[in-house]
Amino acid sequence: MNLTAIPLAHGLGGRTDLPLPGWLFAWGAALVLALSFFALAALWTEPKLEMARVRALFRVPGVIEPICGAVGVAIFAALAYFGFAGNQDADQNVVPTFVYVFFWTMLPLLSAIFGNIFKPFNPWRALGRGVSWLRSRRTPDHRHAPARFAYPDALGRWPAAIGIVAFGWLELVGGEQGRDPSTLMTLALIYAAFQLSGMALFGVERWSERGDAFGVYFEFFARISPFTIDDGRLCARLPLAGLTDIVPLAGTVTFVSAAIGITVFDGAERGGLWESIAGSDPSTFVSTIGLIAAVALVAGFYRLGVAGMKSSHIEKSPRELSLMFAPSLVPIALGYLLAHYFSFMLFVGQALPHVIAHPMGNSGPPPVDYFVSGRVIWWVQVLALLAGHVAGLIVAHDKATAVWGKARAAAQSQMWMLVVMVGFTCLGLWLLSQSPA
Amino acid sequence: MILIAYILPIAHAGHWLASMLYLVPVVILAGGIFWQRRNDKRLRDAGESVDDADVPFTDE
Repeated sequence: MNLTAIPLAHGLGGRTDLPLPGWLFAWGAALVLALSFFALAALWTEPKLEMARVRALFRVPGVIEPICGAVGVAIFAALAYFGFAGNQDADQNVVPTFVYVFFWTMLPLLSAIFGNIFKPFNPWRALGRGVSWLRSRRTPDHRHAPARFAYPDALGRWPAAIGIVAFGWLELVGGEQGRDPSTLMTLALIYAAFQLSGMALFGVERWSERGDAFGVYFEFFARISPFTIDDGRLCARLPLAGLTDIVPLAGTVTFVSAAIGITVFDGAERGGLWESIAGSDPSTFVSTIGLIAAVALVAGFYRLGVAGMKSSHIEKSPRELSLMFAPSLVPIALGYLLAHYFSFMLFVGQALPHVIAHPMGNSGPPPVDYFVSGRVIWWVQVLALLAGHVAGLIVAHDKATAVWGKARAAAQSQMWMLVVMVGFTCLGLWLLSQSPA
Repeated sequence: MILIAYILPIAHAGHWLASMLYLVPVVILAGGIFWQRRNDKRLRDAGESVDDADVPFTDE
C-alpha cells in the first residue's frame, strides 16, 4: 500500500463494528469525569501539584546543549536542501512527512513523556544563542549583551498564538500548497528569520518562551512530563506539576484554545455538520472562518467555566481566573491530539523510516501496512480523551485548592469547569464518531 | 427542487438526533448545577441555612 490516497496531517478514522453506539461512550466518559470530580473533592484536599518539589537527578554536561543545537541546525539545513532539491511529490519527499507526522504529532507526545526535547534542538534558538555567544566573545569580559528592548507585557504569548493558528491554517486550509515540500521549507525559512528577528530585539530565551509558537507549544506539553532541566540539572517531579509554573500571560488562553481548536476543526471539517454548513468543497475563506470559529468556540466554552468560577465569591477578575486556570487545558489539548492523530501516527508514521532513508524522494512511494485493528484504535482514542480530561480536572482542582484555600470551596468553584470538561470530552468523541472509518 | 430543499433536512434528522445524544451529559450536568444554585439562592433568600462552601466554610 502507498500513501497516495492519504491526506497528510489529518486524523484517520478507526471505528469499525463497535459493540456500543458512540454516544454511549460519551455518556460513560461523562460519568467517569463526574466520579473523578467527586473523588478529587473528597480526597484531594490541599494543593499537591502546586507544592510539589523538584528533585535533582544529575548535572547535564554543559557541552550537550551546544551539540544538540548544532544537530538541530544541521537537520534544519538538510530539510531545506531536500525540500528544494528533492522530488516535489509530497508523499515521497521527507519534508511533509517529517513536519506533519514527526514534528506536529509525535513530538508533542514525546515532550509530554520525556520533557522539552525540542528546546535544545530548536534550530532558530540554537542560531540565536550562537550569535549571542559570538558577540559576547568580542567583549573584554565575555558577557552576553542585554536585549535591545524589554519584552512588552501586552505582547504576552500572542505571537505564539498567532503562529500556531497560522500553522493550523497551513495544515488544514492550505490544501496542496501546505503539503508542497519547497513551499513548506520557504515558509519554514521565513518563520526562522522572524524568530531570529524577535530574538535580536527581545533576547533569545525571552522570545523563545513567549514568541516562538513551537517553543511554547512543546514547552507546554513538556510540563506534563515528570522530567525537566533546571539550572543545568536533570530533575524529576510529579507528572503535571510543571503546569502549575506556567507564567500567566496575555494570549495564553488563545494559544491553548488554538491547540485544541485546530484539532476540533480538523475533525469537524470531515463530518456531516460542517458539510451541511459549508458545502462539500468550501472555499479557502469559508474554511478560514471555520478554523477561527473552532478556536473561538473552545475559548468561549472555557470562558463559561471561568464565569462559573467567578460566581464562587472570589476577589479576582475573570481575566485573572482565566489565565490562572489556562494550564488545565494543556492535558486536554494532548488528549485531543493523541485521540485525533493516533491512527494517523500509526499509519503514516510507518513511512517515516523510508522517507528519512530516502530523503530526496527518488525511491518510490513508502511501503505502509496497517497493523492495528480499528477497534483498538477507537479504544486508544477514547482512553486518551478521557485521560486528558481527568488530568485537566486534576490540574484545575489543584489550582482551585490553592486559590480558594478550602477543598470544599475549591470543588464548588470547579462545578462549571466540570461541565466544560464533560463538554470537551463529548465534543471530542462526537468528532471521532464523525471520522470516516 | 423546492421539495428537495424541504425534504433533505428531514432526511438528515436521524443523523442530527444521534449527534444530539452526545450533548445529553452536558445538559444534565449544567441543568443539575443550575437547579442547585437556584435552590440555594431561594433558601438563602428565605433566611434558611444553606450547606454552602462559599461563606461560611463548613469543613474547618
